[in-house]
Amino acid sequence: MADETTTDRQWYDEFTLSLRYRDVPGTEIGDAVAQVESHCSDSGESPAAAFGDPRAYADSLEFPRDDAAGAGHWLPVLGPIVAFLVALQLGIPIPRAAVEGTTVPVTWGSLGATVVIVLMMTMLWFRTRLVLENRLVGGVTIIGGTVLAVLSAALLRESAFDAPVLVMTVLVVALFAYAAVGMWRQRATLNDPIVDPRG
Amino acid sequence: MSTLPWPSEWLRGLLSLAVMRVLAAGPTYGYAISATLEDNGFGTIKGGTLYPLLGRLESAGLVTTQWRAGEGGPGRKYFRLTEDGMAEFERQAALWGEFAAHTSAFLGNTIIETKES
Repeated sequence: MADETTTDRQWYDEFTLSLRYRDVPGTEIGDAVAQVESHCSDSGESPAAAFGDPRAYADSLEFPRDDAAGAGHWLPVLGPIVAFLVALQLGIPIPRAAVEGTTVPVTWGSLGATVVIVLMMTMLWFRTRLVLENRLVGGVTIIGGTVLAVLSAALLRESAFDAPVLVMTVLVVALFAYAAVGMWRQRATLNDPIVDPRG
Repeated sequence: MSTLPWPSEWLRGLLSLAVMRVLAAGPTYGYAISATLEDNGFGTIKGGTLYPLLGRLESAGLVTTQWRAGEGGPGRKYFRLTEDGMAEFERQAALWGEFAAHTSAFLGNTIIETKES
């Protein structure tokens, strides 16, 4: 059986992780954790005794950023990642077409793979916890999605439309540029340490 | 005096007003709020119930918070009623007084007029 310290540590880890999944800023997580520690220090209770299940407690808390959750919040993060993957996928046939002096074929498989990629990223963003903690859902989403995208691109070779090399190159470069700029702007979001308000 | 245990559904409905009543006496921290409520017959209010409520009061602009250094222990987060919070407390307290008087009068009546179906 785990000792009390280990059990408490697990409670705090689960609580912190639950708030991370909700995309709560590190400063607010630090504040919430410090509040639990302070209360438990005063009451002499364990976090589990005073606050119950860490996931349920995390879900019960309100944060100002919850109100801002919407396209304005997730699009700057999800958009560049999807753009990068789509550009990578659309860019593959360009060198061959350029060498052979032909147009770039955009196949139904390529379009299907693009849709699968977008669906996978959307699922990962909005159901992160479910995808990472449920093996069935995670397997279907990540492995199944990847297999489906690869098979789609490999088997559905019929051309949906052809586009000139220049047009496709400009499109792919624009997507890469959008992805690079977007990821650069989001670097502060990715570096979001948990800050203890007590210093 | 208090006749614990009060029905939990009564306490749930009144808890927000009771917490504001404690804060109306001055800024204080979570455990002190919980202990004051327990001393005044509201039973044990767990942290898992109290802090989400305080968070909602803060989101509504009725409460502000400030971390203060602790004496020999970790710092404590103090909660203070804002002007809006004090006004809301006074409004709800007056309303509760009317409701309690009305309910007591109703329950104390030996003869109640009922509408015939």
